[in-house]
Amino acid sequence: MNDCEREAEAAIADVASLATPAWSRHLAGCEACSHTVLIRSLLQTNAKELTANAPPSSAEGLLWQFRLRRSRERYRQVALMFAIANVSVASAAAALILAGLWVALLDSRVGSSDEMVAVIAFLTLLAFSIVVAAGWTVANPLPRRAGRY
Amino acid sequence: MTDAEFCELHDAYAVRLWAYVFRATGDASSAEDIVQEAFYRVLTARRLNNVSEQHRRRYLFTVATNLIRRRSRLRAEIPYDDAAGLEQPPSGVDQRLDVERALGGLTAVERQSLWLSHVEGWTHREIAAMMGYREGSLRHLISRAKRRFIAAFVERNSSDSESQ
Repeated sequence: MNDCEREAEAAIADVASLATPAWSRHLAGCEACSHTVLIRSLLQTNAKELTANAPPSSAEGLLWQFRLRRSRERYRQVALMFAIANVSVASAAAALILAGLWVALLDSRVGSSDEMVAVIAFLTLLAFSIVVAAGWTVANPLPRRAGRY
Repeated sequence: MTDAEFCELHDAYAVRLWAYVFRATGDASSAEDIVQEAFYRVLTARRLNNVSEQHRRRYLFTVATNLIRRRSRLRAEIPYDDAAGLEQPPSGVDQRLDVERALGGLTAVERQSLWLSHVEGWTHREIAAMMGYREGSLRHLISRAKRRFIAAFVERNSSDSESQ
């Protein structure tokens, strides 16, 4: 099958124009164009049958899903801002508590300096873990993708 | 884009887009997902606010084409099933089955290009832009797809007539 420069035209020409004598003569002598017309006819018939079997879809349903998805995204952004604020407040509180503990330990003068360093390191790690855990929990209030939107 | 414009676009093209995606993927469920995602992207695309319906239609089919490509990259091993997810056709529709089997013998991009040019009526230039090909390569692809489709279709019809 050789290519023909009118194939693209044949692929989009309507039925009425293909029935004109000029096109009829051309189609009788051009295998490429006649195949194009045959394929188009077969595929368009197939498309009609397919569209008759297509699952129902409603624009209103899609709009509703779109609004739901957009509000989820906005909520996630707001939740992230709250998480940042919470972590900041929690960090400040933890710093104050640690400073208080540090001062109390220094004032008590109990135990060696190695023990004090170990206790402070432990408290720092504990406070840091709590802050990170709280931040993580607040920053991820929803699953990333809860099924189909 | 207003809700009314969206509803109009959806009513005009949802089913046609589904048919295109279904023919390209061979999977009704994936076709539904892709159509839904394509319309969602139309809603989120701000640049579609003051454009013609033709432009929106092109955007819709381009998004669907890209989603089909992404899906076939992720699920390359899943074979094309020409009737997956659809009800069994009534008896006496041999031509439809022949067309579907002939399409099943093509690659996904061949099916897409053939469908877009022969059913949707896009020009080669438009399809090339949508699929990310050069116009010459696209013309060659469509030409090859047509040859293979006709060969498969004629072969099936001749074997059917011999068996009768």
